Amino acid sequence: MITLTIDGREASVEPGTLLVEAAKQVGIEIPVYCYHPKLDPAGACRMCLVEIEKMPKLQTACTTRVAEGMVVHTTTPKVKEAQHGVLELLLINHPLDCPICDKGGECDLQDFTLRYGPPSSRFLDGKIHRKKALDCPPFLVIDEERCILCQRCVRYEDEILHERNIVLIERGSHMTIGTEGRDDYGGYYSGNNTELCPVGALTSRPYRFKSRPWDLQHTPSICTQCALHCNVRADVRHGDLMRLMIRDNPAVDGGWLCDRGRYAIGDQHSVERIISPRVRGADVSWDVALAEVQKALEAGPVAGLGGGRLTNEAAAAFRQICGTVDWRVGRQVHASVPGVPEAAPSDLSAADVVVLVDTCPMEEAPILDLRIRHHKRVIDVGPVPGMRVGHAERIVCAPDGVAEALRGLDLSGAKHPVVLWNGRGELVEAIRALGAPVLMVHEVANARGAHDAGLEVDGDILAACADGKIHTLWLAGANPLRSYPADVRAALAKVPVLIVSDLYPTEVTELATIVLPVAGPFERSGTFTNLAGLSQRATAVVAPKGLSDEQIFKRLTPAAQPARDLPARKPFAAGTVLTRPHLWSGGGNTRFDRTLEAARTALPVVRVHPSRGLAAGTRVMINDQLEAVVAVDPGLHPDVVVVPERALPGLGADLTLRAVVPA
Amino acid sequence: MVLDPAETKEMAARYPERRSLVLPLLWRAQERIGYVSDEAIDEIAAAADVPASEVSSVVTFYTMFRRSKPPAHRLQVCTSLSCAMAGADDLVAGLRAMPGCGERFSVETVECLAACDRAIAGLYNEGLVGPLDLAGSTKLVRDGAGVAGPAKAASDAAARAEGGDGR
Amino acid sequence: MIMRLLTDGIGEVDLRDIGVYRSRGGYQAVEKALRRMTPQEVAAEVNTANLRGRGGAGFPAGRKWSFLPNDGRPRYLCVNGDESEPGSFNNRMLVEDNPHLLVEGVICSSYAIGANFAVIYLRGEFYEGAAIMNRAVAQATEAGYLGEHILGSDYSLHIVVHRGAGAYICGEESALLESIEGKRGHPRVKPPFPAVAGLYASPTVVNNVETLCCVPSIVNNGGAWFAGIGSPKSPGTKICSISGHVRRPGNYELVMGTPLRELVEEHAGGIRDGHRLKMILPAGASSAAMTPDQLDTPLDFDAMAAAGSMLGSAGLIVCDETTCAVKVALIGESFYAHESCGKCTPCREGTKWVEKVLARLEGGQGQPEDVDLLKSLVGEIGGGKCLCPLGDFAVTYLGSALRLFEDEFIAHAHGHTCSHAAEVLSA
Ligand SMILES: Cc1cc2nc3c(=O)[nH]c(=O)nc-3n(C[C@H](O)[C@H](O)[C@H](O)COP(=O)(O)O)c2cc1C
Ligand code: SF4
Ligand code: SF4
Ligand code: SF4
Ligand code: FES
Ligand code: FES
Repeated sequence: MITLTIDGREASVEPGTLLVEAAKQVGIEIPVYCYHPKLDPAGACRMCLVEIEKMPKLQTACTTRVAEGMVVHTTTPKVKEAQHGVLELLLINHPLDCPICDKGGECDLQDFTLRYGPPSSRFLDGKIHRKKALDCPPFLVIDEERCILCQRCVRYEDEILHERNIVLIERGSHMTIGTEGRDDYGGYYSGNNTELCPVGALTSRPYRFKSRPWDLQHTPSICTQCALHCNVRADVRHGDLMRLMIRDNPAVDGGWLCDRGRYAIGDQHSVERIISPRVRGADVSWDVALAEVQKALEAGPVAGLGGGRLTNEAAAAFRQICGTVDWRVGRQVHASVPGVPEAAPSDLSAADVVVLVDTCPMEEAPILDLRIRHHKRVIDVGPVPGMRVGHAERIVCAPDGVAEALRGLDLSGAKHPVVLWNGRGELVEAIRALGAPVLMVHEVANARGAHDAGLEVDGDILAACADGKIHTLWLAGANPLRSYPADVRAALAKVPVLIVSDLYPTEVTELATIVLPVAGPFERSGTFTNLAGLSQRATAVVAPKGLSDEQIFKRLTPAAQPARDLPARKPFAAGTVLTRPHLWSGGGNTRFDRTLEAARTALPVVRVHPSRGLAAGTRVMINDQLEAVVAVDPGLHPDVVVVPERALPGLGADLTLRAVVPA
Repeated sequence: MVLDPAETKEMAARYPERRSLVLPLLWRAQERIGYVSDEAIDEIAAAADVPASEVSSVVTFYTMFRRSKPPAHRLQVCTSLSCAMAGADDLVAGLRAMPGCGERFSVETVECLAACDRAIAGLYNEGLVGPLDLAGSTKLVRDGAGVAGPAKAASDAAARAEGGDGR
Repeated sequence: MIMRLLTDGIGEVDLRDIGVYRSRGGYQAVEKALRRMTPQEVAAEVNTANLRGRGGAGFPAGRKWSFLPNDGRPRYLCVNGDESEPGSFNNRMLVEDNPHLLVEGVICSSYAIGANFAVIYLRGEFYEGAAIMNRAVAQATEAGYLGEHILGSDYSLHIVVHRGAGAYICGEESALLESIEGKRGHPRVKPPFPAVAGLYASPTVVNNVETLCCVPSIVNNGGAWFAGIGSPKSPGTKICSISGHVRRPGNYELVMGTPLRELVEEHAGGIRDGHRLKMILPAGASSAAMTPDQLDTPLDFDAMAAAGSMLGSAGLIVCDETTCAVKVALIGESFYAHESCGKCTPCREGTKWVEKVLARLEGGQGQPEDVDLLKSLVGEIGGGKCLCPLGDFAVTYLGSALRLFEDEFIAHAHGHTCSHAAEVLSA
């Protein structure tokens, strides 16, 4: 430990600590703009100048590391003069439009000007004017005049994302920040910029002009858009969810949110939500609907599908009510690899080799991907290359050749290998043989919780439906028409009573006998277990539309006759028509993300190998049903075509891609 | 294609890391087509393995890279201290008042060219010129003639190393 | 006193031709170093020579080399030929007229520090210089002084000539490294210094063109010999670039410690006819002005610093009495505002503000408060508050002029245009 004195207070800190952090530890604020604990020190804004005894010049507290016996002063006249100077200079070209700025009230420029700034400005000459309120779709708004060029955003893009969506443009007093060469923000993590930005230069379109910081109520909760469960602070104004903010949990999110999670706040006011319970197409009261449900539960063999998006409590109740429930409604069939040590997200940061087994963390658990972007060695095995920033060694194989490809992989030279797997296909043996810790990337948000609650059965519920062995099938937040890797329309048609509980109308609510609207995220409380086994609480912050799943189950009595003697589960044949969850395509790891789907109006994408002879950008109809645009991907296995999940319902074994001429 | 892939490959072999190719390739692109095009930026980004937006950002930092084609006769006049003391501002004003300025030829001001002994110094396209006066520069921007070439310029400076007065 | 260590033969013969260069003893230092000396011995001679950096700060090259950690990472040598300080033009002469001397210096120095890759960074405007340098490197490679197994030894060296593209700040060593790495030229936070984490985060030495051009003669004649030339604490010669209101502007290679007066009055031929000296900016636009009473100051690092200014890279700008001190400040500040990289607040915002105030003053729109405002802005930007020294450079002359020629600023601030204005631009 190093002992030093800051403003007369003795601090004892780890060697290598920056002065600004040491000061924090003894309760002394040193104002900073460019410094951010998650970014490398830049020494750019010069706001943090302090006086250190025996040093002739002021030093920046954000770049200076502590030394034994150091004596630091942060309030001397010299320091105050420097702080005045920097603030005066930062304000000379500032538009002073704080009254209409979203950041007003939580802006470091406002706050520090009050605390450390000069009383007035001596600047008489004309301000430099720049672009304001520049839309940077899908979510950002850029105001160049408010920007104080602290370069946090630019460094975040570089150091954390290894992308360069926001860069510095020009230099000197002409310098500004922006996207170069495109009008939108190219990546998945734009929203973090709005929190990093100390001023109102980068703000969120969805939050624009919506609230004042002092009107917001803060409640800790978690994001359940994917299985990682990043920690959030939900900000509510007069009962409306306004925004989600980072609530740093080093073990989970490392202090970041992806845009999918951050901006998934539209459920509350979505006009598409199902509002009323329906029985055979007619709106009914809850009492009538639940009476119908109860009747159905008693009328014959009952089974449930889904549960992977329910809270742990609701999942347990679902199992109690139906007796026979399986959360596996998609390609994912394994929630864990028994007998192999589990890796935690934080292990990824220290890993020297990361193996992606037919898995794309950037799409499936976006924040997880930030932990492997600086990695030298990432091996991506599978028929479809994952979206990657940075390099990956690609091992291309046919859809049914993953196990074999894994057998060819030798990890014996790796010190800390980690395997990421989404549990799809029969790869347990092959993965176990790799001998490396595994981190599962679950397909649905609470697959782990559902698994732990025992929502798995030996046998195939949908096959039982097809055989006419099920009277009542309950789909809880599940839509096998989209997610099940086989056409199950016929099976569903055989079920006398189909109950669907969900937020939005889907292909299966149309087939349902009984539809129950349920409370969405931030409308219901409960625990969720994340992909690494960590249980955390999601807290309701707004009034629910409908009952929560848990409330519904608790108002019912368990089924008289849970389904039994199910036909054996057949391994899914891995066809060459594949889907890959895509953050914006309406796929992803939850099945109810309509609001985000709307954020990206672009056509869905169909990925093909160059050998198919389709030019990139060609518009095609997939089986005459869904229009998509072609992306050519030489990293694909040549036989494979990747279609958007939206194209799945009704997609048979035959795939046709017919070119269309846009009108 | 703006760049020659074989040449790019050869240049890449000279540097320990590929990202060092950014400036040399920007120069190459500018030599080939007169400016840095969007296409060139994409090619350089791929060759140097950096995002295209970063290459763009780099271009805006350095004043010598252009994003559009310049006129055939391009005179850059130094207006830093020694050249200003020799009347650079008047020279620039005189040249800019001439018909055709901005279209057929351009007159730009630049900072010190490290040729202050030849004030008023300038760059005519890629050649160092000076001392400039209005008559000489007028000829230069009209037809690119009439001023000592850069080779002579260098020995001028050299001669002065001895004592400057021709001893 | 003139002494031609680095400029010998320039203007007489074509030293760009490797044959000519060799016929005058060129590349003997390479032969000697690689055949008869260990790298440590070469470094020791440079240390003994007390060769101080010619790029401005005067830091001893031998000591800088000794900071390189020995940890197995590759080492690099970067030659700073960005020469952009208004008033300096000595590096351009060396590059254009004595390129092999630089190549030879680079080889000896790279050998001494154990670098197998060296970059000669030249400012973008040196089109001709880059072509000459590339030719010299090619000739030296062909002659076996560069490449693999130089002169049959197991030492290898490759040199690339890397061009800047119009950015004064790239002369600052860490910005220079960023520029070589293909980035915008923003200075880095120090520490770590380049010696520890420089090019590609490896140990790196950055030295000025002229500094490295001194190395061959040190290798040939020994460090002690070099240390005996000129001022004891600043040994060797210095090529002084002198321009402005003198009769014979040019480069003059002088023994360190030669009095300023000798340079101005003898070599440069004195002030142009009918005029008298007002001030000298001895290290270009970024230096504190010196006045006629300081003409006896010896031209070396310490004496110039003691006189309240600096030697820098010895780009001396001489102004006679027709020069307006406010106008000089304006021209200088426009330069720094244009060249500020924009990374840090005081320099980015402050230089532009100062430029605006000076433009107002110079244009007769001054306010009485402006002189105090300028003084306080000098304090807001200068005094080491910026990330790199450019911020200090930007207000050094202004600070000195506000002291030495305050009356001129006050006159302008009261709306009078300069009493010298009519003459200032008519040289
Ligand atoms: C703004 C700025 C510009 C500089 N420009 C140059 C330059 O053009 N050439 C140079 O050799 N050093 C320049 N320097 C100094 C370099 O940072 C560095 O100290 C020098 O290259 C070291 O070489 P030396 O020790 O051989 O002098 C500059 C420094 C600053 C702060
Ligand atoms: S936009 Fe915000 S974060 Fe980015 S440089 Fe400007 S002030 Fe800093
Ligand atoms: S990574 Fe997953 S949990 Fe985290 S913010 Fe994104 S969607 Fe939400
Ligand atoms: S002082 Fe100026 S040039 Fe140096 S880092 Fe700061 S802004 Fe850039
Ligand atoms: S916070 Fe230290 S320089 Fe910006
Ligand atoms: S001042 Fe014009 S070349 Fe130096």
